[in-house]
Amino acid sequence: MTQRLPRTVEGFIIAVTLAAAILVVVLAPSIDTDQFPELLLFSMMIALAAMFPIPHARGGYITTAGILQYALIARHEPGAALIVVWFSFTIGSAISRGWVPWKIVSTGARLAISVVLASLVFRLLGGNALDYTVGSLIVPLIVAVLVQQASNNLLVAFYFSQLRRTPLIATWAQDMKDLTFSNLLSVPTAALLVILSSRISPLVLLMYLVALPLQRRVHQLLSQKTRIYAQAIDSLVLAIDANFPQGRGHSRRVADLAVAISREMRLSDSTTDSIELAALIHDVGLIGLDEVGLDTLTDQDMVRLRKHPDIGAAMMRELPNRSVVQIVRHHHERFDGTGYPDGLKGRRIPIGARIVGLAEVFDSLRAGGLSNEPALSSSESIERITAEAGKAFDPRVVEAFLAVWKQGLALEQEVEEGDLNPAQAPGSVTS
Amino acid sequence: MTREGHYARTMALVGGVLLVGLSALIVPTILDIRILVFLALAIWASWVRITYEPASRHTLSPVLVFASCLIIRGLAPAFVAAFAALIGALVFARRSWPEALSEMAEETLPALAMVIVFGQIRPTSEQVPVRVVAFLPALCSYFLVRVALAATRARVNLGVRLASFLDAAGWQMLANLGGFGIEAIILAFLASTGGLGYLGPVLIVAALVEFYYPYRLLSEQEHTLLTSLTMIAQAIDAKDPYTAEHSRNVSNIAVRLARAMGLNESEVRKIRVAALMHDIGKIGVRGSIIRKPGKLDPQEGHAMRQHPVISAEIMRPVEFLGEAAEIVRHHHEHIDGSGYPDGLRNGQIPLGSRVVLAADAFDALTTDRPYRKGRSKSEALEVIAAHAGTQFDVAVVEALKAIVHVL
Repeated sequence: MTQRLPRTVEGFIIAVTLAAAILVVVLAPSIDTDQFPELLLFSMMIALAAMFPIPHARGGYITTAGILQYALIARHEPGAALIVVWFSFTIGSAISRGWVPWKIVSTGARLAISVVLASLVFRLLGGNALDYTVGSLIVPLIVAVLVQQASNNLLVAFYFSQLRRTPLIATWAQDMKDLTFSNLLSVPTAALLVILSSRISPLVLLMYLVALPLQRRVHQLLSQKTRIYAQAIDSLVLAIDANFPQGRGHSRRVADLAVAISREMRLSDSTTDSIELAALIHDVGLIGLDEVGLDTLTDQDMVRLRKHPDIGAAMMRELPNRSVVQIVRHHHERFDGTGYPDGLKGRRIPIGARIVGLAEVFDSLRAGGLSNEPALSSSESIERITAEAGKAFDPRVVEAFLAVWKQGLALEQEVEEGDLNPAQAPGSVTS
Repeated sequence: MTREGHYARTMALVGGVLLVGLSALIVPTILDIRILVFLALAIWASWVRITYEPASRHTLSPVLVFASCLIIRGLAPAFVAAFAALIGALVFARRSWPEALSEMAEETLPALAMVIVFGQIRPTSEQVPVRVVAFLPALCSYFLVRVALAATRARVNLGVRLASFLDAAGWQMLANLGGFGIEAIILAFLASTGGLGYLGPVLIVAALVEFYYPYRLLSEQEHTLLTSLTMIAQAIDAKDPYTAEHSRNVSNIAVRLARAMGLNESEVRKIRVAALMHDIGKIGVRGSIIRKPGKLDPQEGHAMRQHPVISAEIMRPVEFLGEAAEIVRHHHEHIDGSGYPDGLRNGQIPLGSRVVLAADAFDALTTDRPYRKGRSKSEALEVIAAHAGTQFDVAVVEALKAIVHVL
């Protein structure tokens, strides 16, 4: 790394590493030498888990090392847990991700500190790995997992707040929200590992050698399929929407904007996924309307045009994700109830439909779209949208949209790449 | 009535009989709290459904069925299997009653076989290790019946041969069920060696649900993908109201044809995608040309003849669709070289394209058009047979003859 880190970040890294080192000195003498074989086994498994992170379908990696760490917390003294985690994580990630000493050593130290805290809390709550009841194993383990996660995330959030000036508390809260559920889901597995290794033999940890490749394989398949699926839909949509009045790429642009707004509003990942798919196919009901030159729309064509959300929803009726169908059906509803097909008002319109509705109007304004008006500039389009807050559009969605737009502008200035070319608006749908 | 209907009805009937019979038999022992706990856990486990192409599935509940065979005497495994399958199918998978009953039969008959074999061996001790020895043959009989039923269903409903069923789904299903057997032994061990109460089984089910959850996602993914492609294909079909379900029908016919010809499942999959997508190139062709009843003028004809090329070009760059692009490009080639776009003959035409051509023609002949009524199936078959060797591949036409009664 050639770039020099900010001074506070350097200080933080040194502080974390030093703190962990001091804990080693203080806690190490209490380790029972009889435990060495089992600790070695734990180290090997954690190192393996760190070496083979599992690619996640939404991007990034998950590691299954958490389960092993929780079992370790329950079965061993804080000092032993500290050394095992620090050592094995450092070895594991050094082997798989290359040797960046300061980064890997301090990351391991950070994990180790949070494991020590969790281990202390487990003991404080009367946790006992040999007494398998809810009160003495499960409850302390759950609290320990929460403590481990909270302290680890806090340190991570602090690190990024210094490095990239992200807000400390907000980042921390978001991470907690994103990760707590999945971490708690691994408690039963960890508790089982604890029980089985006390009951049978610590060698049950070797089951990990079977489970890890299986999990990796299924997750790899899953992310591969997700990617292929997205590609297939994308290219089909691209082929289809070349025939729509707003021109090639309209659906993709609407989808990108809608996803950004949805993220800005902190909607769940699954909602965002539905919004993306729905935005891609929102105009599918327009297929078949291809003969009409748009400057010569007859009344009959207008009726047909107003029916397109309905037709689209009917075409897509069998999609397993019902909310996608709902969004397609309601993307022309307006916040004040003046839209179609059902004249829904306010919050009765699905949130996805409110978002896609705004994104689609914005892109159509810039591209010329269905009306006979010429394409507007970005700033004119934004003015139009803002003026409709509380009327056609949900004020909260408008707010999120403006925030997204500002971020987009900031980003563009950064990369100095202003390709905002609105698509050509063809006079007739078929070119 | 098709064979499909017979199979579904038979299995639903068997399911109904089992439901009544088991309910009556289990009443005297219903106060056994263990049975109820295992049933509750099995219902929880049935939330994770793993599906296989072609047309097979199981849930996680066999783990509890196996474990109850090890721990509880008598009919308990069959009872747990039956009610977990029924409730899981009705509640989690939203199946209709007849479908749920037939699923229930497919889960319960293997469990009954297991109970019977286990009863014949009569383990002399209540110790889990001793029972495990008797359990292994019982487990094998479960596997046998289970896979036999799934294979029968695939054979009767879809015309899949045993060998290609085993290749595509059977072995994988057996491997997973084998894993369940090991997990059940661990569960039974934890449940019976005292001290833990029901905490052990509850933890195991929670851990298994967590472990197998990605498998469920993967199964759903597959289904979502195919449905989405179908929906997109139908959206394009909608340019012509007379062909609204055309792509889906062609795909169903082509898949049946391919299976009747004994093609392996990966080839069948390609043909399925190709048949679904074969007309997407029409998106760029004006609706007035597509709907035109009479002869097309040369320019219109050219536009129309371009659609296989356009379809293939749209598909080619996409990883999953690309492998079917070749089939799509040539789905209007004729055996005697009179087709388009490339005028290929005989063996030069990919087998998949020859299958799609016949399926496409069969569906077109049997559906109504603005200018004529659709022909009956046997008439359509005659028309196609008359062109065997000139337009259509003789082997494909033979296969069509063999399956025409189930279309």
